[in-house]
Amino acid sequence: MHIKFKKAFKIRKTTVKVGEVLDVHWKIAIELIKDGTAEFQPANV
Amino acid sequence: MAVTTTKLDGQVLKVYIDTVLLGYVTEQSFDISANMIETSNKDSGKFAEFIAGRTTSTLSVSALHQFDATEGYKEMFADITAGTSVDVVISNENAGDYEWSATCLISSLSISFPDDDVVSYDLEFQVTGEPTYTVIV
Repeated sequence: MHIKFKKAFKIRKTTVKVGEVLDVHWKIAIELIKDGTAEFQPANV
Repeated sequence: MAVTTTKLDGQVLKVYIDTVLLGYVTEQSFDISANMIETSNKDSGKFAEFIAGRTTSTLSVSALHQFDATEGYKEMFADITAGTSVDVVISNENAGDYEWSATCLISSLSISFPDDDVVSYDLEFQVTGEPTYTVIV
């Protein structure tokens, strides 16, 4: 699931910056959306 | 969404390493096999007898190499050299369908640089512990 980060976040070996879009597994995506770290981003946007 | 009721195009099933999509994958497979312990003896007669032994699973992935992949060759290289275990999920992220999940060690990483062709690499994951095949909720 594509999500856009609203806060910097360390995932795996990378620190994702604000505004970056990443495709992550749906479970973590939902967690990050719920806690305000990221927002849903439709694919190919 | 509901369970997919048609045959699947393999393109929709993606590989996630510790929750991050592995980039530029061209193919992946999951294999599971069970050791068969033979218990045949002089009393068995014509037909061999077995009991189930340990189950072993492996995952294989092929991908194209691109230096700026968020999750790609460099992360796999770091994991195999450090002996780090990773959680691998193969999923289409469609609720109602199923996904494969396992904790794995990378047992081999092979990259090739052919003339007049794309650079690609192959990964072999050894599953450690029990893999799961569970419905996506």
